[in-house]
Amino acid sequence: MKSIRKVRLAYTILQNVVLAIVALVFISPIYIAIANAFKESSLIQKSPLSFPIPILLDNIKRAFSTPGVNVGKMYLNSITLVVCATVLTVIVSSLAAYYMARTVSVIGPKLRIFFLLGLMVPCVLLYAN
Amino acid sequence: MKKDKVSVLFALPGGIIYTVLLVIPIVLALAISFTQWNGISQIKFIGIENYIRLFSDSRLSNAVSNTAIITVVIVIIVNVFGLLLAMLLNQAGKRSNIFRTMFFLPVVLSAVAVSFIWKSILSYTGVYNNLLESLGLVGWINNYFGSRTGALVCICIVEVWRALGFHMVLYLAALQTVPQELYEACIVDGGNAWDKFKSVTMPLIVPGATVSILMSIINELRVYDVIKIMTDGGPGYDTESIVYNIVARGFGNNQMGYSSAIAVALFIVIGSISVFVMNRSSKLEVEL
Repeated sequence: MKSIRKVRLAYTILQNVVLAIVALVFISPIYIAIANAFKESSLIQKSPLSFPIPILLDNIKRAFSTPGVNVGKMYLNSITLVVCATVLTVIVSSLAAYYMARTVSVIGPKLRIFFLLGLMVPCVLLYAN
Repeated sequence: MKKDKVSVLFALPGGIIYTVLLVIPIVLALAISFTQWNGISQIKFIGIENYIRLFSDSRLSNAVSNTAIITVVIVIIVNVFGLLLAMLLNQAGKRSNIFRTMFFLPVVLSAVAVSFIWKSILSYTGVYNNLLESLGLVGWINNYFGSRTGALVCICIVEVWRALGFHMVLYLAALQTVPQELYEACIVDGGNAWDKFKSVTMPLIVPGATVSILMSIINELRVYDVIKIMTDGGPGYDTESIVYNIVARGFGNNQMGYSSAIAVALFIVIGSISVFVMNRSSKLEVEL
């Protein structure tokens, strides 16, 4: 009985170690990107993985003050797009899904395939016109 | 009967939007694909000449083989490791929330941002090469974007990193629908861990696995943004994907008719692969 418990404990530890290693690999690119945003480029060359000491805000300032690049406007554009698209999608797709889920009809399954088509279309097909 | 008539109106807004934004452009693209058109001048009808040209185009066949390599590699890696991670997380129970968030983080980032992050890591003057230099492994330093193989490996790494979390979540959702009693029954019958996986888990996650495999195939066949930013199709035309080829041809070389023909062909390929996968998997599904 004791040995079974030991095996199980070892298994749990192994499982967490594997998960932690994979998680580390997954997180490191994001860490590198964020850390390097606050570093001088010479420091990035010298020690790319180190924590940014001192924290340098020059890069951020430059991003906001580059002529011709209006970060505020860009965010506004994205937010407008996201809000409109989300509201429209939620309303329209929930209505259509309600119909397809609640009624038994001939049109339902056909409509589902019709909507699934949208996933398969290469987006470039739509820009060409 | 009357009720039914009312409720079909529910699907109407979606149907209209879909028709206007999707079906009409597809039909138009289909029409353009039978013509020779540079986007500005007179449209000239040339029949199926564009489609005949598809088969003798070496730049396109290179793009097709790149897309095929990327798709096969990514679909296998993402689905196998997605399932493995999901099974580990499923067993870990409540403790797994932090890991789940970490794995899912790349999915919520935009493809463009992700590509720039990885470009700054993998480029010749990037983080990875700097790290090798500071570790003294100067011999390993390499310009990965300089050769077709190296660039394709880089693209695959980024795509795996981007997609794995999403497919892991799909598998996790499928695993959580498997009733616990069946595992107990399997133990009572004297089954070991492999039996549990083979006879209980596998048959019951077929619907979830189908969605995951199908989505990875569709997404990878349409791969574009990562390639555009990481290698821009280079060196030469060596790492172009099909969609990259379509955009380069249509807007770069002003061959609207020909690029529409490629797009229509790709659409047909994706459609038939999807139908094939769905047919296959519906045969594997079991009733509980």
